[in-house]
Amino acid sequence: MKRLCIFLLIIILILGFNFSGLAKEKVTLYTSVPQSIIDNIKKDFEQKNPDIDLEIYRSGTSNVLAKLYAEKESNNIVVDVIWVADFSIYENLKAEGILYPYLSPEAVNVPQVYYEPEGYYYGARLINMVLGYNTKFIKGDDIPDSWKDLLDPRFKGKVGNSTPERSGAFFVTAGAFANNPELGWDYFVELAKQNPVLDSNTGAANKIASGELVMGFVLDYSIRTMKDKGSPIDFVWPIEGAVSVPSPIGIIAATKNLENAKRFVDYSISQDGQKEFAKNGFIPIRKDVDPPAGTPDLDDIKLMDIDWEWMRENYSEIIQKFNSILIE
Amino acid sequence: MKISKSKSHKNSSVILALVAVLILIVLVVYPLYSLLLRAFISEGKLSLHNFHKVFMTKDIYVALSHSIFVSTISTVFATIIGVTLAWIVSRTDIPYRKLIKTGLIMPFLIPPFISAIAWLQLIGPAGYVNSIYMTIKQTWNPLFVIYGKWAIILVMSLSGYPFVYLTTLTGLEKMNPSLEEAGQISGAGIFTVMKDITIPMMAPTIGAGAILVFVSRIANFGIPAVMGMSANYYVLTTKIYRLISQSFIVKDAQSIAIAMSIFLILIAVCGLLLVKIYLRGKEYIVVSGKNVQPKFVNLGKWRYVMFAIALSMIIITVVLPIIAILLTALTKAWGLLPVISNWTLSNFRYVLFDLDMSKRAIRNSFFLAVSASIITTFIGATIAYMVVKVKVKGSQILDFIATIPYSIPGTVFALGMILAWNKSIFGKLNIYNTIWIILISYIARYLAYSVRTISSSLMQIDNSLEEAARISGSNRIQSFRDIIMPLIKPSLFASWFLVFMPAFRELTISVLLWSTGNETIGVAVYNLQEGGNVTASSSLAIIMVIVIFLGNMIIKKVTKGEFGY
Amino acid sequence: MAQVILKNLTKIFDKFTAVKDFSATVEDGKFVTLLGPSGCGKTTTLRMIAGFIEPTVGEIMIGKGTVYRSKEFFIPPENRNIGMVFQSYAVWPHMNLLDNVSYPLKIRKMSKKERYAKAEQVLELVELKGKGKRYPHQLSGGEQQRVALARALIVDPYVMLLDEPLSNLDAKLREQMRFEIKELQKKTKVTIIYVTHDQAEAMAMSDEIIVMNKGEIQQIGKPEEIYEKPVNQFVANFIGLTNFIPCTISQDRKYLIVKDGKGSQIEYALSEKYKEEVMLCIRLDDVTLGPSNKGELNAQVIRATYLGSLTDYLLQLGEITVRVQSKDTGFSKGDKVSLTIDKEKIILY
Repeated sequence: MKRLCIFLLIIILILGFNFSGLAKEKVTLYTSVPQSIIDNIKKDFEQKNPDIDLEIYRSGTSNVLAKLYAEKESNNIVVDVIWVADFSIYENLKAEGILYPYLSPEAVNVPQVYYEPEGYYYGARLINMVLGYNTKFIKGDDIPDSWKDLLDPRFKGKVGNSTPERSGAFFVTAGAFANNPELGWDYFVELAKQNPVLDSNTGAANKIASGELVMGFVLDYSIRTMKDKGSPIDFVWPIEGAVSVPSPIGIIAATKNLENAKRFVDYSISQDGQKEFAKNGFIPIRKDVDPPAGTPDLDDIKLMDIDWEWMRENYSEIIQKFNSILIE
Repeated sequence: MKISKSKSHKNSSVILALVAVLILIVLVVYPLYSLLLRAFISEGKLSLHNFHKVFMTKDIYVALSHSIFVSTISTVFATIIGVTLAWIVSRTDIPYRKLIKTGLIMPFLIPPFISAIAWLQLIGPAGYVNSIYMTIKQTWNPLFVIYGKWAIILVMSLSGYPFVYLTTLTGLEKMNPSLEEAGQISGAGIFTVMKDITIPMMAPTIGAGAILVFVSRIANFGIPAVMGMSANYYVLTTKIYRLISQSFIVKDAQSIAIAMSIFLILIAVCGLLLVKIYLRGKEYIVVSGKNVQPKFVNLGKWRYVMFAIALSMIIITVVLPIIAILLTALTKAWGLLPVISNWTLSNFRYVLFDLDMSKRAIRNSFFLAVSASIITTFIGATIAYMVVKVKVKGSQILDFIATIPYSIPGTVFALGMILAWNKSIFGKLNIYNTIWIILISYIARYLAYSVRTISSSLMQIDNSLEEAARISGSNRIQSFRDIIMPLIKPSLFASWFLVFMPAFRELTISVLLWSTGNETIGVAVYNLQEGGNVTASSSLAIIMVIVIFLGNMIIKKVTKGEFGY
Repeated sequence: MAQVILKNLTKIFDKFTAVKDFSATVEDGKFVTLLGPSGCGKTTTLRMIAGFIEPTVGEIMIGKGTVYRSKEFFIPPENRNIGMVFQSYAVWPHMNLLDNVSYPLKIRKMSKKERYAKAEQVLELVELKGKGKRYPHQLSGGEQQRVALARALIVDPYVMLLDEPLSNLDAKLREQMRFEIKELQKKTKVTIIYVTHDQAEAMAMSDEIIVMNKGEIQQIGKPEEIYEKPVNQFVANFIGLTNFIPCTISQDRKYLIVKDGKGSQIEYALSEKYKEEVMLCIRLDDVTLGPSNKGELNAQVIRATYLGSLTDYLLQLGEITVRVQSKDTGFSKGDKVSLTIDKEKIILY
């Protein structure tokens, strides 16, 4: 009896320690990149760096940040690299001393506009907020070409989008719209009358694909993947402009795996990494890597102007204003 | 030559007692203390300052009223359904009674949040029913839109009725049939007997069942999470969840969450107290000595009507949802019709072999369930032994403390665990963000099952058996090991089962305590669902349900029907 | 008040025959007891009369009406206008005494005032006057049983059925209740069918006893008949304490030869109907002990148990044993004694 107990205890401990991953070198990434895509990236990265284990925590941008701050508060930082969708966040993180400046050798191949000059963060993928629609229900003349098409009363209750609180990319979108002379905050006031369904970006895309919604704000790369699988969904680049977010990646200053973190950053902006991202539907930040098939050249698409500084300074206000229009 | 026997006996009693107390303090008292501490301390002083701020927050009252609204209405529905079904099964001569009885308990095996996911797929705006309608009618406007509170109420009722059904059924079956026969002899027909005699006598049992359902609905996280959050309809549990995830972005989020959890605790405790008080002195049910089963024969044709009603209940609550998720799991992509040409096993392959997170989650859940059940049984046996046999002073308190985590809502308990353990112990050891915090939570949470089961088994063992061992020279620990343990083997096994099953499928606690690499299967399904990957969440859900059903069958077989649904 | 006629009642459960071909008539106003060991079918018969069990074959008539005829019709219990007292009394705990007792009248749509008045009357009859507002849990077991009786009587039923109503009471109370129930019957003149396994109870209360075994009627008769002239060994054994002494008959039919290995003889004239082997049945208290060699049979005391009012002796008569209960306490173990059998009381099979 006694021996049985000891035996069981040992088994439990062994199993338990397996989970502490004491085995290989590792680097921990917190990201808002969708699970399936980040898994592909992880496979590719680990294949090219077989001595490193890439551990991933994936959730919405706000959850990721919350986790980061929680760890900071309890003096127990586990994360090494952070990769979410909102440029302005990174300015805040840099100001708070949370990021580590690293000048990657790959930086020379990246357009300067896409990374912070001291290496605090690098844009790793270009994701774009575009207008998605269901191809079963929306055909011919109904196919939209402007953000204003979402305001068509016919589609009341059948449009959807995310929120700035939940999605970094949508935060940037809201900020861009606010400053856009053709749209402004008034756009969202009108949008509120449509009773839009609020969900995550992927959630909105799924609902459009399923027919629960007919149109909405979506991210280009996810639509590409769904289209390939056969889902009845497509998107357009609206005439007022899409919102382009260079979802950046940064190393956490308190990291315990600095070298491995550096290697992941290098990978992300290297040709190999960017090729893998392109395979998963992301538009690469490097000119020497082909974008996904069917993507127009970024120089040919209309993109909205983005005032990053303004957005960073008015972070809470933008969120609150949006909430007051669309949620309360 | 040993020291006097009585001393070694006493010493070992004391040791056992201390160990039990220590365990309980760590598991139960400390987290609760941390929670209450944060609730009532502001800026280092005891105060209601936090409550002050918090009472100003409209959000709380909205969430509270939502919680009460959905829980109350679904309790009413669940009670009506449960009592009706219990009456049909125990008092009429429906055909295939055994089949119906087994079928009606099946909902217990499906975790509520999976029901919610399934129902979304069935009757959601883009669910199967609506899709078929929209395709036929060539419109993009669905037949009906069920989101938010009514969807929550629907699934809460359907997943809640088994509680009332089961308690009412047991009561009806145990009731002395002569009480109803006396009514018949007095001239009352079947339905009059039911109205004047059966139901009034069953009132306390039904009432207790209803209160228990209410408390469990209000503590539920999965259903309102899946069906309410996207419609911006929050209840206490989901609001707390949201606040915790935003605790460093929204001001005072944590305090508000804590205040909400105090509300939750109050409701839960009041509910359980009510049950205790209400049932006291109303032990109406006279257990009959003989095994006479009164079957009030229904008119011939009505037999089949009742059978149809019961059968459709089973189909609605068990068959339909599982079919819905299964179809989704088999479909290539969400949005495509689930016709055979679109079928594929790739989703299953994905969650079982490709997706690291789900692979981890499955492993984690098994690990957690097995460890939790073993450890809980061990601790539970010790405490039960202290309370029933050793009767050390204050052992009643031990019993009470052990059952606290079971009575308070999971969300609240998880919050307590976070507050208790988010700083490192002695600066080095840290269980926050590890799998161990989840394991400890499970042990604390399910301890009550273990203590209860083993207690009742211990109470049936006569003291003289241990006294004989004492006379023979053994101390407390030895007699526990050599005499008691073998005799209570069946209840040990039962306790193991009673902990394994819920631990395996748990969501409410792990959704707040998980971290990378430590996802449970419930969290994995939920995350996939929230992330929009419906096909993956459905396939993982199917796998979960299969394991649960299989486990249940095994238990039934091994214990010859004594345990298991 | 009515008579009950049962014709050829049979009940078969699956393959098991619980009651076989039961026919009897219970006269109006009489107290008839179904007596027998567990499993003999008495409760099943009673429940068939009540209507809780539908017979397989047969006919039941209560009063002027037929309540059951096989393959023709079956009247359910609620429409038979009978009263029943259950073994567990089945007094409803959620109603007070007035409500409990008047419930049958409530069903018959009597006004509250009227039925409460009637309820008070019956409660007085069972000596629970003034306790109408009390609840069952405030009463003792004996009092609860009286409530059950009152409830059964209140409708002036055709017949009252009692299913082992006294088995939950302690010995003293049981005896007291026997008399009270009997008194009640005399007062109300209601027909009673009573079920019990306690033969002393049956003897004390009944006008007529129906002894049952294995589903079949063994004997119907007045208590004295059953006791003194049991028609077969089962009845003889079930009622009272009996010795069964195997004997053979002498050639000249003047003597019984006890098969005790010693050839003891008892002088007793035997009619033609008895063949070679007979079983002599004699009650324990119909045998007297005397000093040895003074009687027909000689035995030795092997056990003497003092019971207070009697002494129970076990005696060795050759190869067989005989048991005697006697007021005489003078004999002890080892004594040689003579046995004298009261010849009037001999029963032979």
